[in-house]
Amino acid sequence: MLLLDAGDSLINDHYPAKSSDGESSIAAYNFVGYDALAIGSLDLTLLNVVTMTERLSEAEFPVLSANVHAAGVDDLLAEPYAIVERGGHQIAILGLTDAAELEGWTIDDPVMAARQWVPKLEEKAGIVIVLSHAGVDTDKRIAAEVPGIDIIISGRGNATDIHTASETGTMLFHADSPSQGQAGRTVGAAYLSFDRAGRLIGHEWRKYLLGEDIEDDQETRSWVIEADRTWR
Amino acid sequence: MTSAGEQESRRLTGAKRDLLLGLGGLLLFVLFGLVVIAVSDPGGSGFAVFGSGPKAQQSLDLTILHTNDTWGYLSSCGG
Repeated sequence: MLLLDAGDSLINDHYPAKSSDGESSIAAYNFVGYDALAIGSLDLTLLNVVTMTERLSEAEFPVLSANVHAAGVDDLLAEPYAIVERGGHQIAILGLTDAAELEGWTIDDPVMAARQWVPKLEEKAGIVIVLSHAGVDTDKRIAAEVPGIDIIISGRGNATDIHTASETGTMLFHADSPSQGQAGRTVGAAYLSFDRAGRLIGHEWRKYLLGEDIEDDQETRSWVIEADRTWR
Repeated sequence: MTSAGEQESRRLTGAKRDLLLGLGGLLLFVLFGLVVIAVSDPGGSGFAVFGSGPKAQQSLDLTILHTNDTWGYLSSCGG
């Protein structure tokens, strides 16, 4: 299994993320055991270079973006990709951030970044996943124009659920559209089958609403209560 | 009775033919060898000639759970 987040999940308008500058979010994702997270522009709007660098150092999982730099710096802020292994298969996960003009940051065109990195990742892994906060419309364009991607996990923008690019066969999954006071309610679940060569040969996708029908995990509940005390 | 020149010409033609047959046989042998390697290699690496990226030993069923835009909320209902 992989647990992934497609961005804008570090901070916004609610306690304790706002008061802890995203520290509580990284701690929560460490606790739950995320496998990778992509950086979104909201994260960069509300957190400066120093704080983002601190958050990256606290993460026990890859925080990814192939197209974000601190202003005036050539090097990327974060790792562009991660390679994980599941069932003997090498899986490359490429992170993309939505293009925006933000003080203190330079964000390259995510489509160009995908074109640059995907061919390199195809040499390293049999399965290539793009974890993108570039927005559904941009992600659909990437799916259509950049061959070699097996699936795109998409964030930002209005939810489109599932989409397949007719040009390449690349599938796109998008779980949630947040609103003020309500975020993190929906989890997407992609059930995928790959052959020995890493070709996607079967899929099923569902969306789960985290409501009253789903019982709280007691260990996580205890952690959240303690987190409230920690960052209050 | 054939002349010496005609005999020489036939020898050369036969030699050319033998050379072509030999080269063709070598090519067939090499092609056959590649097919054997591709079919018999259990790790699938023999297919690397025709594809790209490392190959695994078996198929994979993978579940991907994914979230986005959680905004740092610790409670999905707005907390």
